[in-house]
Amino acid sequence: MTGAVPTLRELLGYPPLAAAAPLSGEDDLDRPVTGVTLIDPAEAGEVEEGEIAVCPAIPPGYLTSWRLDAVIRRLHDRRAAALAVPAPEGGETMLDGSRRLARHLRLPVLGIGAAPLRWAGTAAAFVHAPAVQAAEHLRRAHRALTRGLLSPQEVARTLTAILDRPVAVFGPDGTPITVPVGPPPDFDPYAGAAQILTGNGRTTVAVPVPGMAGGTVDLWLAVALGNAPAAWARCARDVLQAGTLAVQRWQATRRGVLERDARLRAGMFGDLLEGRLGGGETARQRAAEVGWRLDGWHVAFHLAVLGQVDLLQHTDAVAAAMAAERVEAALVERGDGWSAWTTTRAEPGQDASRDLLAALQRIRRRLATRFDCAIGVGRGYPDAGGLTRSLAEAWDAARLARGRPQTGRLVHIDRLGLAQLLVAWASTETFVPTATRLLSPLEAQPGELVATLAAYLDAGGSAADTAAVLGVHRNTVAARLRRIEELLTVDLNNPDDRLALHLACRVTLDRDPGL
Amino acid sequence: MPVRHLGEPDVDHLARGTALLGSGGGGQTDAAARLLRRSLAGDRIPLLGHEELPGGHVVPVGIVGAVSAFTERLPSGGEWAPVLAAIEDRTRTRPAGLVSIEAGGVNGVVAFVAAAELGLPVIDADLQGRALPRLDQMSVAALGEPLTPLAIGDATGRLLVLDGLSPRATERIVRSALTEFGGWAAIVLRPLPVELLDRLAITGSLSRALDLGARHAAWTRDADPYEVAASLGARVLVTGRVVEVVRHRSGVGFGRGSVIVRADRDGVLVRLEMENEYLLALVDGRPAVSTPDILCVLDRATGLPVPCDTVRGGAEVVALHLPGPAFWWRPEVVDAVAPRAFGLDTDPIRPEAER
Repeated sequence: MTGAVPTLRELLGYPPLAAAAPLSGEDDLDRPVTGVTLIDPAEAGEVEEGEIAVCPAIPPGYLTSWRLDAVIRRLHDRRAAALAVPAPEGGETMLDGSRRLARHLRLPVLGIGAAPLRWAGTAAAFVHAPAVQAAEHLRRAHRALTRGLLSPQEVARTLTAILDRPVAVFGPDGTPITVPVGPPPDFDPYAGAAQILTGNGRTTVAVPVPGMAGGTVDLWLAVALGNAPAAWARCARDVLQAGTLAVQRWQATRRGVLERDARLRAGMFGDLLEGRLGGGETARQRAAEVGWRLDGWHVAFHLAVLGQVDLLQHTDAVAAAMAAERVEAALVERGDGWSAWTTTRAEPGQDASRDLLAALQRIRRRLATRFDCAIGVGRGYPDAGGLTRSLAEAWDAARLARGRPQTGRLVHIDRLGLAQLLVAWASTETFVPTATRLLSPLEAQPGELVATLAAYLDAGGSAADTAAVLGVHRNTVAARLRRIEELLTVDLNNPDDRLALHLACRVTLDRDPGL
Repeated sequence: MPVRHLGEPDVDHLARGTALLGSGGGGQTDAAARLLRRSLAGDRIPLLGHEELPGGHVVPVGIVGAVSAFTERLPSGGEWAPVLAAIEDRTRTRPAGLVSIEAGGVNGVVAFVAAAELGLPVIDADLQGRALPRLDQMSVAALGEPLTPLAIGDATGRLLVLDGLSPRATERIVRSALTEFGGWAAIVLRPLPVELLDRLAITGSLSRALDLGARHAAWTRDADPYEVAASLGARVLVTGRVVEVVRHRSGVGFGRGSVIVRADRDGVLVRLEMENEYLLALVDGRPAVSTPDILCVLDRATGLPVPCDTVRGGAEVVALHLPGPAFWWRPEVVDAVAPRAFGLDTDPIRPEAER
């Protein structure tokens, strides 16, 4: 035997022994149980301290007879842990006086609602050899888990049946994915190790499912055991650990499928974007194989993930979030996130567009526990060519949405001006450094030269308007403009120079609005 | 023991004492006491010690049947004369005095009513020393002596004479005949030789009742129950409130019941098992007092004994343990009145063994 002996309350929390319930109230159940012994209803027999005295059969009327009181007393004198009798059937029950006596002498009386001898045997086996019982549970868990490929939810259901207690799946941060169990208050989802947590006498066991990358946790399997003996909690932990293997197996298999599908979709998507998909029946068939419809009206949107994320790992979650918000869309992994589109037979109206935006905002919130993202939405266009166009708009909008926390990082292409688009296009990896380099001579100088230049260009070359916007004297503006021309060796009357500088100002100011 | 007489002033003490010896059974002695006062009509009845009789025989007298029926329909006079006559006829014996069949309860008082009717002295002895429910629990029967010839009858001339029957058979027949007598009947048992009373009967039981009654009369609302108990030669088992009364009406024989008293002071739970009498007391589940010893449940305020058939939940009571007659502790008779004789599967508890 390892560890401390279980208390009576814990023992009753062990599911195979849960058929016994206290007849004399919930008090005094926190005493250690060292064994189980059988007694005769008339004679207490040999009972050792800490043992549960089980009376396998009682004559009619026993529960109301003085005999019961006398046995309670004798067991009390022998420091027994409890008296257990077959649970009363029909109208017969303990007298209130006997219940009072049991409480007064602090000797709980249990009613066993199952075959008493079997109960006694199980209790004795559990007290004396918990490892044997644990091995039996592990054996059953192993058999059930290896019967087929089981999703995390199915693993939880299977283990619920094995442990006879609710098993739940938590996300990596400890939020429940399946409902029956909530995480206990002291659960630490970032500890990354199996946890046996006991609070208010209720034990919860949580076991992590390791992620593909080392040290990360993908999911948690957790079981709420209630009042549980320590040995039973350890057994439950081992059974859950067997469950994590099954979950990992499912994840690996699932990832294989996802990657194959993703490759197929990516290939198709590339063809679609570059117009290689062609038209006619062949294209429609190829698209139908991956579940896409090319005819009809398409509205595309793009989810750009902020930060580094393994996209494939979250594709299911994104699809689930869309399904939960009733957004029926084709979904493709694409570089920094996912592109998706809805297809309708008729041109989508204003209401549909508004509904989609609201749904996308909710989807973004649903995914917030996994990653933050920016979402761009394109306009509705018909057929394959229209789809490509809508996708491009969505992509552009998403790019702008990144920098716009004030719109909830959700931007519809309609809300963008041409200039903003121009900036978006210009905000490429090649142009941004060039723009920065172009304006860099101004940055070290006093007098807000970049802001002055931007205001002057925005004001259409009017020094007076520029002075009004900046709140300075027009001579100050003129002096600054001269210094800018000198520092940059440009001519502000030359339209080509103006265009390049205007674009550079927008790109740098848009990236760093504080400048 | 000097010759003494029982007169009007003694009736209250007799009623109290016989009620205490009733151990919760034996019937309401106050009704019997009213009857006795009427029978005395100011006169006195001699109460003799058995050693004061030169010889001859005494007859055990009393009533048998439901004490509730007795209270409803008290004797009208003339019950015992025809019954005694039948026994005299059959045994050709003229008794020198009467003994009570049962000192506990109504029969402790009724012996004097019969004495008043028959004009005979009462001898200070009885056949039970307390109250017991059955005829085969008479001391004579427990010793293996016959109860018969025995007669029961009433004032209307109904009469049943039994002879040559075992105590058990006698009990069965009398019990089944009682309905024909309206629930209870006067009874006269086989005459007993005076010189054998020491062996066959419980002597001194009526003077014990009178003595107990006199001491018990000192009970007041403010009395310390422990002091009164000590003066009675009794021990306080518990002072507390009746928290539960259960009456099991199953099976044959008299109804069984349980009374649970919770001690005021320390929450000790005293369970009294009863039939017609309180038979067994368990203190916190441990058998503490049993027949043949006597258990009295007294009303906390008045001190009056609370009989088994009227005890109810919520009552504030004192439970006393009163030593039973030494006679019943004799090894050859104890089984007749031990708990097992009432279906309670436990050994009788001797007071000294308990301490």
